[in-house]
Amino acid sequence: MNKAIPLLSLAIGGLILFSAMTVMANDKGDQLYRTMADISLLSSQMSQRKEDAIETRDQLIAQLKAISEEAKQEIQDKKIETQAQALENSRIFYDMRLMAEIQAYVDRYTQRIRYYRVACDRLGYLYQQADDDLKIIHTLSDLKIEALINQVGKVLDGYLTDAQTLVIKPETLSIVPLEQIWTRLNPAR
Amino acid sequence: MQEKADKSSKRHPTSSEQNAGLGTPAGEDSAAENETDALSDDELAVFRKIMGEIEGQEDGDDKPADNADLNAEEQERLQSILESTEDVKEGANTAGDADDDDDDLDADQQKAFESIMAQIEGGAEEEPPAEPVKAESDPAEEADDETDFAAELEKVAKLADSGASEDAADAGDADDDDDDLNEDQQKAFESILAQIESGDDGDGSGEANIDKAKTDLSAEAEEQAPIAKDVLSADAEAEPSSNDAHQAVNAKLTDETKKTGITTPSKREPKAAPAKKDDVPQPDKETLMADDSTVIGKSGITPKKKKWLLSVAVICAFLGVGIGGIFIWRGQRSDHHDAQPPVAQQPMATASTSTEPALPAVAPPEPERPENTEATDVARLKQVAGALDRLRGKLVAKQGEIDELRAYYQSGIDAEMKRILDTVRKSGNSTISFKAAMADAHISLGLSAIQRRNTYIRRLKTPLKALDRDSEELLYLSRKANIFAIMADKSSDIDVEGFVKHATDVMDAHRRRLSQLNIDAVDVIPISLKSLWQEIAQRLPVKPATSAPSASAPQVDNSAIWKAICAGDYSRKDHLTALSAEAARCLSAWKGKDLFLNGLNDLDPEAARALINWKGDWLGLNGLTELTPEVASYLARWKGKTLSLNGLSRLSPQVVAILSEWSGEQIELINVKHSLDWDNPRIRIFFRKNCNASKKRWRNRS
Repeated sequence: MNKAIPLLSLAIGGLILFSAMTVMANDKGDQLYRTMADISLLSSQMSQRKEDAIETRDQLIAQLKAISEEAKQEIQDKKIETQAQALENSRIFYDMRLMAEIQAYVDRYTQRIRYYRVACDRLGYLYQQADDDLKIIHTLSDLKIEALINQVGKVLDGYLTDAQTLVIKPETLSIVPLEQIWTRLNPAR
Repeated sequence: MQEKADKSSKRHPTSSEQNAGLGTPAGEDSAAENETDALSDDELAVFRKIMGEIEGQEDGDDKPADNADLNAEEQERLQSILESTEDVKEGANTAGDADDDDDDLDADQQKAFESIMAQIEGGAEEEPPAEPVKAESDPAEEADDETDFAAELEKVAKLADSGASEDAADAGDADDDDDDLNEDQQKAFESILAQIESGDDGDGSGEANIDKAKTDLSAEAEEQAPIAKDVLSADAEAEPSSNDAHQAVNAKLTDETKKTGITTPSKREPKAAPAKKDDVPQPDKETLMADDSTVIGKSGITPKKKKWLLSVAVICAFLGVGIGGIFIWRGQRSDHHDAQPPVAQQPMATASTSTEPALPAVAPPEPERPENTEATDVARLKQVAGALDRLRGKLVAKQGEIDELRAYYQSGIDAEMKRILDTVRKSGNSTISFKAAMADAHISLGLSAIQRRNTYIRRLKTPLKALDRDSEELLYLSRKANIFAIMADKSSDIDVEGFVKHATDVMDAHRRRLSQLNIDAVDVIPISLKSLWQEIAQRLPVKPATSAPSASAPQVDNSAIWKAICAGDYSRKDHLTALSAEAARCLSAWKGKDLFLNGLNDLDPEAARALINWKGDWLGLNGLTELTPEVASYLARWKGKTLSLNGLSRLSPQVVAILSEWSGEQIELINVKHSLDWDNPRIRIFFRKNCNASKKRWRNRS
């Protein structure tokens, strides 16, 4: 037993030393792997948010179209010719109001879709850069990746909020005036 | 060689301590260490002593009755061992290539150990390949097999491992066995042994050659039996360069010596090893047997061997786990890398691309989104939308009730006017002054009723408008709730809470307003009775009411048309402004599909009763401005498909109830301005747009 203990210790020590050396050798590679995984995850989330925005916008556009048709029919049936008359009609008034709001939301979702598309492109670029660096690390012994890691970290932090869910900030929406809606509903007049 | 001897001498104390329990004396080991110099002398002395003992016993008998008993053959064998030891010693001293000797000795030692093991396991039946010594040794061994202590040797052999038996079987191919052990294994074992050598030296000799031989030997060979170890040490010390046969013979002899206490010298054996028993008391046979049974056991594994094996096993396990872990780790990493297609081939690789980046699906799961919250928001919005719709339904229903009430009042007004007119007509006067009319209690009361109802109708208009706006607001909010639900499903910052609160407030207000509906506060100036009378007076005919044509169609000769129709000429039927019952019966025979009598502004029940027998599809009575329940009941029996009554501006609930029982498909009521409580979903009704509410209400009921 007295002989086994030092042998055991020696073996364990050797094993730990070997493992540590291996881990250190692949530390940067792992770091890049993690970075790429983070980018990939964030990109998929951003992509999903973009799809959500597109889906929501399409639904809003369908609602807008239906309400617009209803308002036009009401205008035609009631022989409404002026905006004042239209505003006097409860149905047309509320239809116009809802159309203005939906239009504002549609515009905002369009902005978000554009934003997410650009974000996905940027993340794709960073992913590519990380993968390029990873290949170099696999081929060569070392490469400075700190700058890339920092850059990616900042970008990820910046996109993180938007990746979780769609943020449209309704309080900043610009609702088009009802005059524009009326003009759109009744262009002939 | 000298260096190894020095090292062995340095390691010796430890090995001595280790082997003390095994009956291997320190003095014996120290004697064995200096194999080439002093030890040889000691060994020689020991062997001579043993030989002396053997020779002393040789005289007695071949039977190993005593430790000193050795027959002549054994004595010769020991002598030969000693001689060979001396030869080796001289060769070692004179040889200039000590390193080569070491190598040779290692192999030899290994062979020797294997041979010994084979001998131990096989009862010395298998001999090494032909060696110069073998010819000399075999006769001695054969003779030994016949000795009494051969049985003891077999006992020891039976205790050996089965694995060792295989080695013994291959003892003749010692060189091949050396090749079986690859360099890595050899190095590993060398390193292991070197590490534990300090404790195991005593098992072999202090000689490096012995160590090498032990390296090549299995652990079982080392641990097989204390006796065997002693013999091995002694043999190795005695003849480091001896061949396998020699060693096997030595082992056998030493075994015998140990077990029986008799040293059996061979012709060439030196008398070194057996002499140990003089230095240290040898265990007697019983003790040895007891040791054999307790230390070696059935499996042939001693506690020391167990420790040794345990250490090796633990080290191997750790190495295996470590190496395996590294391989797995690297494999996972390479898998991870392989799972990701080359970025150069990915659409996302170019930042300028506008297409969706096809990033690989990496393991990390998507962080949890506040699904519950969103689901709750959507559910709340749906719930609010449902509440808004329900409340709006109540408002619309109330609108319908008010519309019906107003229609009822209007019908009452119409009926009252008709009664007044009938009263005036029956009086025979063409005109009646207001004062005269008021003097007539029937007319004055009728005028008051018309005034009251007219006031009610106008006052009811205010809550009706409020309900209409409220219901539209609720519709707006309901639609907005649905839109918010669409957005809240994907977006996070929809002010659902604010909207719900707003909608709830609105609904509360509307509910409160609905429960407090009244017309008391509505300030409406009643139409004066005089104005009402003037309106009625305008409708008074100059002549008493007859079947004469109306003023609007003075030129139409209805009688002539009637005659023509009854004669079968239907060409002028569209010009009729009045229709007699007889003419209606004639007209019902017409075979056409569409009958438009839009010039008729009045239709008496008898004419209607006759007219419904016409078997066509579309009956147009758009000139009628009023429809009595009696006429309506006849029209409801018509078997056609479409009925046009677009001249009617209002329908009493009774007329509506009657018409709703019609079996046709479509009724046109374009000019009806109030809602209808229609009970027949099969009939399509063409309303004015402002009657949509009643239309929906009808659909809801259906």
